[in-house]
Amino acid sequence: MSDKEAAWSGAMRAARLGDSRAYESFLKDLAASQRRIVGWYALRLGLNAGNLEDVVQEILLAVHAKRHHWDDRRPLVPWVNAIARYKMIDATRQMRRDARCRIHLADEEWAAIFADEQMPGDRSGADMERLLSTLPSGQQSITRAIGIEGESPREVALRLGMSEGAVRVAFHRSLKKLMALAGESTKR
Amino acid sequence: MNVVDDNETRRTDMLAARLASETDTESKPVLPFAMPVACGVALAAASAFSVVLGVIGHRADLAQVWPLLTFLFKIVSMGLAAAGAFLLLLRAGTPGLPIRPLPVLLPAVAMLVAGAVLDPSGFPVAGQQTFSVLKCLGSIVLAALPALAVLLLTLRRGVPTDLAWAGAVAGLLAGSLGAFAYALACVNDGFAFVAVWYSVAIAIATAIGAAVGPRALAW
Repeated sequence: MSDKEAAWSGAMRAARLGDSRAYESFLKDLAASQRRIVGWYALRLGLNAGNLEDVVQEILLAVHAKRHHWDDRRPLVPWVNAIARYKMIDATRQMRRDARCRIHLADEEWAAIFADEQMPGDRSGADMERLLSTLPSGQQSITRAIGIEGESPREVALRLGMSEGAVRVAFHRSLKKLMALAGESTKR
Repeated sequence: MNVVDDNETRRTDMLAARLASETDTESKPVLPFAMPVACGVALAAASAFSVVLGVIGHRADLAQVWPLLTFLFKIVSMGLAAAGAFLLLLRAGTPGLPIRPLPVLLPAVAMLVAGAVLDPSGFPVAGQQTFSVLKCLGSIVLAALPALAVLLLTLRRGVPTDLAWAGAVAGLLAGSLGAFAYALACVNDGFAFVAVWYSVAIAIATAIGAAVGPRALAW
């Protein structure tokens, strides 16, 4: 049995007896080791390094949520690795899906562009309204909510009964469209 | 960049601390996965049998044919397939176990191949009636669908980490149970008919399972 296996399964058993300190140090240790693996994996696939820590946290949450399922007669390290691998692949797929229709700016930056009166092209609010009105109504309300009223994608998702991912995607798609439209009208 | 990284790392450490504060002394270890699987498989088998017996009904001469080799071939080969798939299902819901499908499926595969090649019955591969093949495929897949739904719900009680594989295994087991149940209704007794068309039907159920697995099992 490796040192890691002994340490981790020991900590997990201790956690079952209520030793939260052992469990915390196990989770931090797990985070450190997954951070290396996720970083290496992302490098190899050429993924955006920005949300790697989110993936590490997803893994921690998953292991925590399923901790009672671990059979302590079996080794813990392969159990944890299988879960980590699943969460990593899942996150990669989501990042790819997002990346296809995303211009690389964080939501806050987008919101800042919208809020800024002196945005490129020096557009007035009326111009913005006119551009917005060319979007389909669903995209319009999402773009208004996030871009102008400053709601978070999560809030909008809850309000409209959509998934957060779908809201983000719709938001980014409409922004892309708006940028294209704004570019056209500037040229004219 | 480093500052950001440190912040992010600290955020994760805080998460670890918060999760650790949720440990409770009266921890409730989950039932071993074998328990829900046993119940799920029993329920899946019951649903497959009710579809076959309810929709088609058992063959009229069941009382006469059950001791015959042709009938036993169906029951035993499908039983072996279901048993192998059962073992794979247990593993598919438990992280970190090796997959190894070959050894557990070998008995069923060997029996079906031998049946197809050596077929002593002399019945046609395409069945006795015009629509034998379609009826066989349709009935088995139909009987497998509710069983598949039950097995996917069962898998959600475990911790599947390769969702397409887990879905495929659930489909394989559902298909085997559907075929086992259909054997009570099927009037085509050729070994080759069973070996070929039952297998195709199970393959269809397996493919359906693999296709829906990633969505149905995501957690």
